[in-house]
Amino acid sequence: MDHQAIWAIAIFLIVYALIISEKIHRTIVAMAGGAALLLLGIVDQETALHHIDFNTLGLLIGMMIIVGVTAETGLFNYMAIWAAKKAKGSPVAILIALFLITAICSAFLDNVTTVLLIVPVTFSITRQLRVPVFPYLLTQVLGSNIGGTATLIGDPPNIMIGSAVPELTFMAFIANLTPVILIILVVLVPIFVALFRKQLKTTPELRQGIMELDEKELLEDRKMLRKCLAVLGLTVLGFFLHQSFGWESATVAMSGAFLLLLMTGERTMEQALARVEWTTLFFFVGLFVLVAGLVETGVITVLAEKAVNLTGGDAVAASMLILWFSALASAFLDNIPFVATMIPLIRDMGDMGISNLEPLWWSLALGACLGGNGTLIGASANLIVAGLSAKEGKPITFMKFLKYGFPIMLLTVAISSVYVYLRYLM
Amino acid sequence: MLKYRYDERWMNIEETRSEGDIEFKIRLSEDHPYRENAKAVRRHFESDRDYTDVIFYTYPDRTYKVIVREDHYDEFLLALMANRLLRAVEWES
Repeated sequence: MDHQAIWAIAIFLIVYALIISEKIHRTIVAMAGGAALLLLGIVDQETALHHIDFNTLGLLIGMMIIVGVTAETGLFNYMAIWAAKKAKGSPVAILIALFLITAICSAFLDNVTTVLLIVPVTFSITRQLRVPVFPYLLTQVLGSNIGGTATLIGDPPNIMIGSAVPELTFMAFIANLTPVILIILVVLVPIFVALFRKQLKTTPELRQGIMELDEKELLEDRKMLRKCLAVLGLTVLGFFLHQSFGWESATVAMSGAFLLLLMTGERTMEQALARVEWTTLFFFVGLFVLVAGLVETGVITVLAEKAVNLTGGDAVAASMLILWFSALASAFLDNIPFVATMIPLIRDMGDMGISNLEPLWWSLALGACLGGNGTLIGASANLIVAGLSAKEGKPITFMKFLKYGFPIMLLTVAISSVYVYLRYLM
Repeated sequence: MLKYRYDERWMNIEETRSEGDIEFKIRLSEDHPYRENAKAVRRHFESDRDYTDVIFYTYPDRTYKVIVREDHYDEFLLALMANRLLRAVEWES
């Protein structure tokens, strides 16, 4: 291994350590690491730009704009109250309804965005029912990470995998990942009921308070809502058809976003662009450059050789290794840099003799997304909700989350292992 | 004790206190000239990142239940004043 490879590994590990330590913002660390690679001449600017996946960035920006504008219409508050009324104000039924709504929304929206939309109305419902908020927040976080696994656009690891492997289309993600996610959701519902039923008691009067709410009043701007729903519908349709027309997923999302802004005007555009999470996007840019350093210096190829030797080139062993290693790593590390590193590694494994890479890609997606449920630091949505809960005087500690999250993560990854084996490897 | 002044022809406020919260029940008549301003008050408190400072529940016929955390009591009254739903607030011994 030459000295450039050693520099690339050192910078990568320092960046990783600083991201885990959370002493400096992860975006600053990733961008600084990327800059160091360029300044040291390990990667030149042209090569670095070539490694930045603009399809991933465009897809994220487009969806952030569409969701940001839609959130202003009050649609998500309306949905939550509507569901609570359909559940007849029953705390357990509301817990399950909000878990499923979060999972479904997360399949099409960013996980953090979904929990930020659903958490405020959760505080409002639990305050009315005078029940503890923790079971709701926990199940919503778990639901957002699970639901996000179901589609290409649901979670950043899937966006990155879908973008890196052209044959893994939006429809391919739905056909391959949605079935196992539906199984997981069905398995978890009775578990959540059994876990939290005793804590969630209220009175008929407080339930009546939910039943009398007027959810229609929450829809602030119906004209805007109609535009948002039309564009959301068209965008999702575009995702279903993107391969037939030869469009990239970012083209679909950006077209949807700017069609919506065309319909809603300049003022909405300024607000929507201000709400785009630029820090997350620059974090991606920094990571892509860091991984470029590992790819260009041959580090990834060496790691892939070791993985192929370890598994003997056997697809079953390789899939299970990737699934479980991704899940355990993602429980403790940010899954975005992890997946950014794994993508070229799996590609190289393909070049070294593993002919059918499809189960490996699905194993990576399932492991990286579901692994995020293992600990409080496993996914951004977990930390965001814990932060919000602490601010409201109801802290969710690392150990409290671990007690529920880790066993559920193990269960969901075990279900995924059986699914991957039966569907692709048997 | 704080006493609120508002136009009783178009508005009614009931206030109760429990567990460190102040609970308001506000009814606005259809003829209230500033009835839409209640939505502005709700938007104001929903737009911040403190989700339990002031919680709004909207019922039919412009009826609102508002649970206000004690540390946000002043801010809530100021928001009602700013939106012309209260005319005056004064201390009454």
